[in-house]
Amino acid sequence: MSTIGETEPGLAAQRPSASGIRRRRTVLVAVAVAMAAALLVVVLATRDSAFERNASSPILGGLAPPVVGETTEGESFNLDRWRGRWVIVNFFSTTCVPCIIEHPELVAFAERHAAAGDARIVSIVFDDAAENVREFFAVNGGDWPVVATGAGEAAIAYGVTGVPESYLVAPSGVVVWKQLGGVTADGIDDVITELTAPT
Amino acid sequence: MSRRAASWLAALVLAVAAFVYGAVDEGPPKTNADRVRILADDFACPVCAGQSVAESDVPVAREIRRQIAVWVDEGRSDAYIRDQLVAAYDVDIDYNPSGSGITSLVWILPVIAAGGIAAVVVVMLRSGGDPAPTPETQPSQAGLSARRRRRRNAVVWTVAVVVVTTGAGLLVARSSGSRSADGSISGEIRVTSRELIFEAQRRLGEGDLDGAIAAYDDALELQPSNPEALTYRGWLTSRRGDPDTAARYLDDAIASDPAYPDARLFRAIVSLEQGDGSTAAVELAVFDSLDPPPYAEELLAQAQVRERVAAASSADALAAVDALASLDERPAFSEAALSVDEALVAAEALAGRGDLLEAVQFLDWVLESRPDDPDVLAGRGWLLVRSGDPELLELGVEYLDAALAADPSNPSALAYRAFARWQQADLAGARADLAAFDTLGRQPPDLLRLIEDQGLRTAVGS
Amino acid sequence: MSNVALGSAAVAAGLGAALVGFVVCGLGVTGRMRFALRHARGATFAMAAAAVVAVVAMERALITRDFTVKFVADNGSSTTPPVFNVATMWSALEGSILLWVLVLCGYAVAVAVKFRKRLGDPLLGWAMLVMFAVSAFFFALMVGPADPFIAVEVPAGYDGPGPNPLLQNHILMAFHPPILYLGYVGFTVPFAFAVAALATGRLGEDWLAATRRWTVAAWGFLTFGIVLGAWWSYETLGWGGYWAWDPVENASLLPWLTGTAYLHSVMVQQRRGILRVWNLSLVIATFSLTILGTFLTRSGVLASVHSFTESGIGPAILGFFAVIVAVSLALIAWRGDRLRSPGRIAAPVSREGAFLANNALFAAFAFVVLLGTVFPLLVEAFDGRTISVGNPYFDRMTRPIGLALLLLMAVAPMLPWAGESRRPPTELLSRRLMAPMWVAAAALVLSVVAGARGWAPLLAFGLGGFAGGAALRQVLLAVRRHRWRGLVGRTNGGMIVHIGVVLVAVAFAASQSYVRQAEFDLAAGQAAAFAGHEIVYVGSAVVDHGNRTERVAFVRVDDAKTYGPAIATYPFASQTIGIPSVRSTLRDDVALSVLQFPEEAGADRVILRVTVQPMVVWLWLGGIVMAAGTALSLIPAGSRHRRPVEDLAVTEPAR
Repeated sequence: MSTIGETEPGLAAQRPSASGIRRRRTVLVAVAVAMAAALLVVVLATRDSAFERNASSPILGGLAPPVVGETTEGESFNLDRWRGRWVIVNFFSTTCVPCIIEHPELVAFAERHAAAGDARIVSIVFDDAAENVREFFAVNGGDWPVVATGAGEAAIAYGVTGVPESYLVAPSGVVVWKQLGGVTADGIDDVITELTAPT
Repeated sequence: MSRRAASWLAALVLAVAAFVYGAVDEGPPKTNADRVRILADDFACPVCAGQSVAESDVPVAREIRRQIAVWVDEGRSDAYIRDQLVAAYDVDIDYNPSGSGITSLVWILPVIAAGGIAAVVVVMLRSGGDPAPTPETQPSQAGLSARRRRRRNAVVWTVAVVVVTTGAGLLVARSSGSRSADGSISGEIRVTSRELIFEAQRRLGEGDLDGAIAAYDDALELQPSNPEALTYRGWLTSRRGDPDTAARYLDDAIASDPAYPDARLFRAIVSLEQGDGSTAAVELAVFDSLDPPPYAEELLAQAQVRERVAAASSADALAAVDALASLDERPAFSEAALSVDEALVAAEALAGRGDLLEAVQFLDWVLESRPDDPDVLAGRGWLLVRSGDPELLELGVEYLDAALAADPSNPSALAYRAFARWQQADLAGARADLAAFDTLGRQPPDLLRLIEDQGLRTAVGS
Repeated sequence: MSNVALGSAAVAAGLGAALVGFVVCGLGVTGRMRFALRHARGATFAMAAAAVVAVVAMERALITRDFTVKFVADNGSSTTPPVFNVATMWSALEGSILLWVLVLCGYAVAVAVKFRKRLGDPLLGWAMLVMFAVSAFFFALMVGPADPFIAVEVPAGYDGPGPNPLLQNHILMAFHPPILYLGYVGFTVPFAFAVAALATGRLGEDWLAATRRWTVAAWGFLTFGIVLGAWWSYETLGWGGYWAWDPVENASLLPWLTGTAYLHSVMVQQRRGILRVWNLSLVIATFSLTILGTFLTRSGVLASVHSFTESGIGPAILGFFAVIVAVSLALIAWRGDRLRSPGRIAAPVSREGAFLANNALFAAFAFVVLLGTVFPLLVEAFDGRTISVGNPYFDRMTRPIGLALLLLMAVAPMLPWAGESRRPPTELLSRRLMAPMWVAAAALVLSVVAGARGWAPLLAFGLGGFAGGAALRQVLLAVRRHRWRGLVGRTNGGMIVHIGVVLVAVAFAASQSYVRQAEFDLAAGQAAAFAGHEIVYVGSAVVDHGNRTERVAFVRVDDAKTYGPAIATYPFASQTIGIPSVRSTLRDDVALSVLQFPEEAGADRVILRVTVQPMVVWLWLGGIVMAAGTALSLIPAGSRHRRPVEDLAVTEPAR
């Protein structure tokens, strides 16, 4: 009220309440809007870029979704049968370039653990034909099972977003690690070592 | 009735009739494809920026659409499909924010805002375009109390609007923020036997045996033939001191999945507890052929199953030999109720007891009936090789040669001769035998262990 | 002169001119050097000339494939077809800012020329000051973080990747962004005048009258730009969608909603002198929301198909947004006592009452959209979780608002201003709404007969008929009374816009509610029947277009024409995109898109997605009608032009 008195003495003397109330209310509303806008600006300013926001996977730490189906060799496969071992569940397709780059690493990993038998690989072929897979393995090596039927269901259950993508299942049957894109044999072993290290 | 009123009535009746008919009549039922499309539009494509699963053509969106179609064809409810996708891809795949928790605000706030805006409009219309009644219109005397009353009214009304709209907002959030189970046949989501087994394992890890047993029982209720649940239920029963019931569980497990190594292992252990060494030996042999996981091997070593089985079969074999010896006239081997394997075990047992001569004689008796059996020949040779005497060693090698003459790819003979040649300092010969052994398709685990334990490979430098 | 040097110099000169203009106006409005205001026009010319030179430099670089300009090296290609080559300028961030600046400078010149006789007026001085400030900001962006003229050295024989394949497969790429920018940027003008009104304290109707046409024009461009964008995505994305509640789409809708609210409430202020704060707020909100939209599109905070690649200009734009909001709110708060309205709403059931309800609905609409757009960010900030808000939320929350707006569109034009008519409004309504009611009844009966079911779409059709009938009645009456003049002017043009809105609303409801979609796996020669259409896969062929290779599936629809949806492979981007093909009729559209050509020896197969949607064409027709109505409303209605109520704030500032 005093500010109005200073700027417009005549008005203040005549009707102090009318414009006083109005002004006070305008200021209040303006302050409220300003606070909301400030909140919005702060939130927007502190957000990471959507391009960098990493997709977390809710399946980490939970029981590995089932992988049941027939392999490209016509044998039946059930992931649960491998309980007690580390299992790399690898989603790939024969035409994807990163998958081809990744493959030798998987072969190396499989060979490294062949004797001890403590870790295995199962690949799930995504969007591809069985004969392509056989040819792919004939050319690029590797003799682990490739699940061909029920692949879509498994991919959705794991939350696969693209190929290649790999999940590490611990001997207990829990998914402990996820890799978007290609893996390396050393990378997987590092994870296994880290997880088995006594804490 | 005026003409205008009649015309209004006619138009209204027509409009309402058409509307009610169209709104009540179900029309062509929604096909599964329609439901798939509607659902796909409600989920975000996990790798695309701002596109729904229905909109995107990237492979994963296509795969999710395909999977939604499978679920819809299976008669799954919307809620089930949502839960499956959220479990795999997290909540941000769902374009429909949940009606509970902090996300419910997105449903509630607009309703409150709408109520607030409506209230302001009503006040403005009533007071003539000015959101606040202008004080100058009031007589100055009554002005103060009138203002106070107005202020109180304003507070009451504001509170009322906020309360009512918040309630309405909560209702909107409740009804919108969840998926109705329309079109569902099996709406509820059950725990699977897999999850129950996982739970049981967890409890087992914590040492909660009763909890684990209960969880396995639950799993078996859902899936009575689940080999894993049967196996571990049986194992836990045996740890509770009831080997006979345990054996029944384990036999069921083996019947359900003959290739499950854990079942074989536990069956062997339970057989030992039951005093049945031969069954244990059989199960152990099957177990060895099954490519068991590392932890099973550990367990095996821990429980000294091999040793116990070996001891049990030696005891059985010795008993058999003693039984034969006690007979007045020993029958020919081919007429005795004894297998070659048992005979070999018995010879080993005799040798282990220190009766090397008796063991050799026993095998000679077997050879009378089976002169060309490579296994027996190899066993006979092995007894001599092990004696440490150079002459006997020489003789043993002859037996082993005979065994290999009968069957060039007899693994025992090859492995034993490698040992013999090593002792004869013929390292090249030992290496050759070992190499031949390594090329064999089937390498008996006991031989592998023998080679490993004696350090044969390093000794001969292969 | 090299393009880099020319462009950089032009941008720097433009920034200089904007700053000079800002200083000149600043000196002018503070009162000491009022004569300086007369020279603001020169500064706008200089600024605009600089912008034109910069754009020419950029286009020359694009057309001559001058890969020494980084922007061209990153976004140009020797294989891009000519039209898209020109449009490449606005296919990436830096060039889009350049386009923005060009449009902004154009508006600045237009304002300076249009008001050349009033440039000495402090109101104009302040408005020009704001325009210079905004221009300076955008020029500064191009000097700093979004420099389009960075020099690079490329190896001999270098060829660029070309624009994103999705941005070079439809001709609308050449039109949609410029028209949208004409809309966005156009709101700078009313914003500048609103700030000027607050700064000078002349809060009456003067600034409204001055900016009415500018606002209507900007609104028209924005409307048309949004419709073109929807059309474009419908034609190129191939799943039958034109509106996806994507953050960037919402960012364009928000200023449209507040702008539309303003266009209506401004009539109340001109008539009654009330809602002054509200109108100022709407103008400021509209401009702020365009800047917020710019931020959302260019900062990468929200994932959207329409986003530009990530860049460093986000913080600058966000800061600009904060400054705009802060300054505007401070001005409103400062002028709070002068914003008192001299008039009042005398009767609730009146035109002004209806406008008030209209504004309430638009405000609620904008709130719903804004909340839904930023809510995931809010939740992430406070709760750490990532969530999504999409179709289900927006559909459910905006549907009732849209239906209520349709109802209001029918009733409001029939209502008299308070005190305008002596007869009670109910009697007027019962007379004037009779014909619209019959149209509504006819629309309902027709749609039910045609097979439409479900309460929500039927309500939309009924209310659409009601509102459309009302608008049509007004237009017909006006034409009967004034011949061709019955089609022009604010009121009549507005009614034509209403007709366009009704078309869009009805088409939206129909196409969203009755869409059918299926995927077919067809071998060559195989046919499929779907939703009353027969689709035959004839075969496929590979066509080389230079910058891309297309495998086209020839699909015959209903024994008539053959359509060619395709999958295009752009070798440089190693990216494949689908090119859909749509058969449009007034009744329904059949959209075909190839999902895949399955690799299988010896068989020509295709996986085809078929989407059948009714009435889609009416969306575009409605958009054209809206644009036409906007244009008509800009033509003065002649003698019927009513003077606004006198500017009370000017005549009695300290009553």
